[in-house]
Parts: sequence; structure tokens; C-alpha cells
Amino acid sequence: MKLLKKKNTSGSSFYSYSVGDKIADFIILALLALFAFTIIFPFYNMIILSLSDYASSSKTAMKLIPKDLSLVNYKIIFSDPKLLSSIYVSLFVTVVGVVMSMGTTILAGYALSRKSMPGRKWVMLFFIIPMFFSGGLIPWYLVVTNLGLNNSLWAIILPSIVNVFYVILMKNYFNTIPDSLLEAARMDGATEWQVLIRVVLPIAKPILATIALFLIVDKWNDWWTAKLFIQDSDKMPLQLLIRNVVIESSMDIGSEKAQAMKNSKVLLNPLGIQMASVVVATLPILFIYPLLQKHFSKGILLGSLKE
Amino acid sequence: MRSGNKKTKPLGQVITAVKKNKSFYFMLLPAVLFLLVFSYLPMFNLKSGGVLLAFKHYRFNTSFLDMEWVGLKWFVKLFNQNDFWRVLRNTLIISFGHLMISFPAPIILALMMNEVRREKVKRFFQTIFTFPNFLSWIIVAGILRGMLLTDGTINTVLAQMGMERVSFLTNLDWIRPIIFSSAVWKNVGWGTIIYLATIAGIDSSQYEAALIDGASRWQRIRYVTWPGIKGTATILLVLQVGSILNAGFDQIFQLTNDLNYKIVDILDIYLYKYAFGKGANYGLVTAAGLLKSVVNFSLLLTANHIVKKMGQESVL
Repeated sequence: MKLLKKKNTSGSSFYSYSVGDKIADFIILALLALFAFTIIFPFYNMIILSLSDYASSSKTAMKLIPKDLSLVNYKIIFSDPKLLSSIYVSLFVTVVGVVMSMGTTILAGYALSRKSMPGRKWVMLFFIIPMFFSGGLIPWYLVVTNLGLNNSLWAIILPSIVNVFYVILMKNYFNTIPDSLLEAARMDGATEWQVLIRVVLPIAKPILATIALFLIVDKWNDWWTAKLFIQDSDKMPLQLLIRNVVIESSMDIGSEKAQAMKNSKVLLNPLGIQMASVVVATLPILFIYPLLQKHFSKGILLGSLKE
Repeated sequence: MRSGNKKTKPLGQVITAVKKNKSFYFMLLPAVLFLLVFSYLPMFNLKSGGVLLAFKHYRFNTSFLDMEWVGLKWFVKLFNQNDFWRVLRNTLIISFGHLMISFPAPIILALMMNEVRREKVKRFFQTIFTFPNFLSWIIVAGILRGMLLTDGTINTVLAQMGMERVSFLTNLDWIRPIIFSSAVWKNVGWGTIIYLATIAGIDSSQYEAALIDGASRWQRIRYVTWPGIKGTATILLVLQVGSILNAGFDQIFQLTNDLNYKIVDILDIYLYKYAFGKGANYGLVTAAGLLKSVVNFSLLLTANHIVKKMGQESVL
């Protein structure tokens, strides 16, 4: 038995690596390393720029090799109440949105996984149609404004509560839970709600974590609904604030503090200020990335994707 | 008890089955409501009309029923607009670029990563390659600006070497290559995951047999790995063909500007500008949106059909 296992796992032992193979290995590793560098460097560059004041940004060589790092850009952006309020808005929208999405997705996923439900086929069709057809930008925009959601945070939260793709992932995972387990709980007199909460959800932790993490990323990164429906600057999520400051240049961040510094003859590094705000929006994603990676690399998502 | 396989069931039996499943219908309710309001109402509703707005003359604060029918007026107007043909051309060029570059990129990267024998090294690369996928295009555009603006790092280095600064993000020769390469930069790592998972599912005895037969590395890729992932690649290709008229609004909206828009603006950007810019025309935008989804869906069906004819696994 042991012998057999060994033979299976080390299939490559049949094969002795030639010089050509080693050269090919080296070339592949070199190319992958090069690509990894092109991914990492822009991040490194962003961080260094965000930590450079005018003096170090004007000395060109400083940009590649850090020296005299300063937090002045961060002091400038955090002096602006707009940044803190936009972070608060983003957190609110993310937390409320994820909780509501998880609730509806779990319930719908569980119901759809029950094959005995009459009309299940039609309900499935009802869920799948929106994956292929939509009313389009204006009809959708008019529905949301007609609901009176204009300039309300609910305009950011409500339209994206149900993502059919996640409902189907959830349903597929629930389908893999053996029926006998649920049947046993039902025999003990549990209602379907109790079966869901006490039996199904504890087993389904991996998919719950995966979908929750994906929802967090989706909601944190969302800017489009805010762009369309939010006018007040104190209701602006972080992504939109950054878009306005960095990409559109239609807004300033920390301009009061910046002006005060200018008045006292301190030279500023505008690009550094912009990069500091981009770093602030990147950090939360960086923090949850290890968790994300743990889950998607398990292949849970992909396993269910194939169905 | 649960064998309801007969085609027609007596009504009484259906009612008991429905009653038995009562709690499931309640569970469906929230999701169904949200879909009804935010997905189905935009398709059709009596207040603002839904997609039928494409055939009406939109008036603010007027019920859909009181708006006047205009037939195909907005479609005709759309086709008579030079700007429409310009953005359509941009959309097709950028989409074909993505088909040529962004579609094969993850396949090539996955094949390369699969040749890395040490699991830890492979995981290290995967960790780095996948990260940008989780950032918004706003963040990625911000990062790009740090590199590419005239006072960005690449230009600093160019200036230091005595070369002229290039305004990459407004230069017409540079902007499309930047669109393609930044799409690869952001998405390729995520794209490899599905291929690596498929490769991991290939029966290892096939590799062993190939090794015994003395197959070279290239032959193993060509005759074992590639046939193993061809099905996945085909499905993803079909799906991408079905979104040819999209071309990535999220990305391009962050990279378009007053100097490059002529070769960068795609259909969705044009619709956005027409919907919320000067001289907004809701009828025209709805008509164009409708046209876009019809074309996309037909392309999806066509591609799917061709793939089926060729005896490949297909999407639908």
C-alpha cells in the first residue's frame, strides 16, 4: 500500500531531468519572477510616493530608493473630514450590504436546493433570466429614482443585494449536503428554519465564508451606484471620493491643511497626496486578502462553478 | 412519499406539496422581491416603461402610458450619429484586443505555473498574481497614475536618463496598449485559477503514461495538458464573445479623458455620457442599450452553437 502511494505521488521519478529541462525551468521561473515584479513594483511605487514630501519627490532618485520618508501626505488627507466620513460611509454600506446579501442569499440558496418544492423549475428560471437580460441603464436608473432612493445610501445598498451568481453557488453547495442528515433533523421534529440554522449552516461554513468575503470586496469596491445617485459629499463612499480626487480632479482633499502649509512656505507633493488616498482604499483589501486566498484556493468556488 | 414524477398531478396533491414546502416559499421571498424590483421592473413597468422606453418619447414627470410612441425613431437617430459609429469601432477594436491578449494570457500563465515543481514557489506566485483582481479599477487607475503621469515614476526615470517625458495616459499611441496591459495586469492571475484547477483535475496516469513513452515536456503540454483544459477555454471564449459589445466600462471609465476619448470611448461610455451629460436623451440610450444586449446575446448563442457543432462542451 505504502509503496503504491509513493509510486503515484512521485510520477516524475520515472524521468531524469536533462540539461534542456533545467534551462527551460530556469526560463519559466525567470519569466514568472519578472511578471511578479511588474505586479509588485507599482504597489511599492504607490507606497513610496505616498510617503514622499516635496523635498524627496523632487530629488528624482528618491523615488526608487526610499529615503527621508514622511507622513505629511497622510496628515494632509486625514485632516479633511471628507476622508473620514467617506470611510464611514463605505464601512456602513459594506456591513449593512453584506449582512442583507448574506441573509437573502442563504435563504434563497437553501430553498432552491430543495428539489421537492413544486414550481422549483420556474423559480430557477426567474433567478437565471436576470443573468442574461437587463432593462439597461436608464430603465434601471428610473426605477431606483422613482423609489425615492436618490441621494440616499440605500440606493447604494439595495440594488445589489441579490447577486444571482452567489445564490447559485450557495445552492450548489447546499445540494452536496447529504439529504439523510436533514431528514434526521426533520424526524426529530425540527422545522425547516431550524434545519437550516442548526444543521445546514454549520456544515456550509466554507461557502459562507467564501461568499461573505467576495461580497465584502464587491461592496467595498462599489462606486457606480454612488456615482449615479449620491450628490451630497458627506454621503460619498471612499471609492467615489478617490475617483473625484485622483481621477477626475473635480474635488480636493485636505485642501485647507494644504493651503495652510503653503502659506507657511511648505512645498507640497500633490501626487504623493493622491497616492496616500489610494493606499488608504487599498489597505482593507490587503488585510482580508489572506482570508480570501485561503478560501478561493480551496477550489470551493470553482468546484461549484462548473455545475 | 417524494416521488412526484408523474407528468400531471392531481390538484389536491399539488396543494399538499405546496403546503409542505410553505417555509421554502417564505425563504425565497426576500430574494424574489429584490429581483422583482431591481431586475424585472427595469425590464417592464407602467410608471417609467422599462425597455419599451426605447420606442417612446420620454418626458420628465409623465406617466409612461402618456408618452407618445415614436417607433424606431431612436434607433434611426442612433445610426445617423457619427459618434455612434466611432464608439462602436472603438468597442470592437478594444474587445478584439482583449480576445487576442486577455483571453490567452491566463492560459499561457497557467501552463507556465504548472511547470513549477515546487508547490511553495507556485503558491507564492499565485498569491502575488491574484491580488490585483480584488482592487477596484479606480484603485488600479490610481496606481497606474503613480507610474505613468508626466510626474510619475517612469517619466522621472526617463528624465533622469535624459529622455523626453511622455504623457502616457493622454497619448493616443500609448493609451490602448495601456488598456490591454493593465487588464492583463489586474485579471490574469485570477484567470489562471480556473485553468490550474482544471489541470489539477487531469488524471495523473496520463502524465505517467506520457513519461513512460518518453514524451518531452513540450509534448506533455501539447498532448495531455492542453486537451485537458481545452473545454474550459472554450466555455470562457464563448462567454467572452457574448460580451463583445461591453469592452470593460469599469476600466475605461477611469482611463478616458479629454485628450484620448476619441479612440478610447466605448459604447457604454457613450451611453453614460448621453444619459447624464448635456442633451440627455433617455429614449436613445434605452434603444442603444436594448440593441447592445440583443447583439451580445445573439453572439453568445451563435458562438455556443458553433462550439456545439464542433463537438465541444458548451455553455448552454
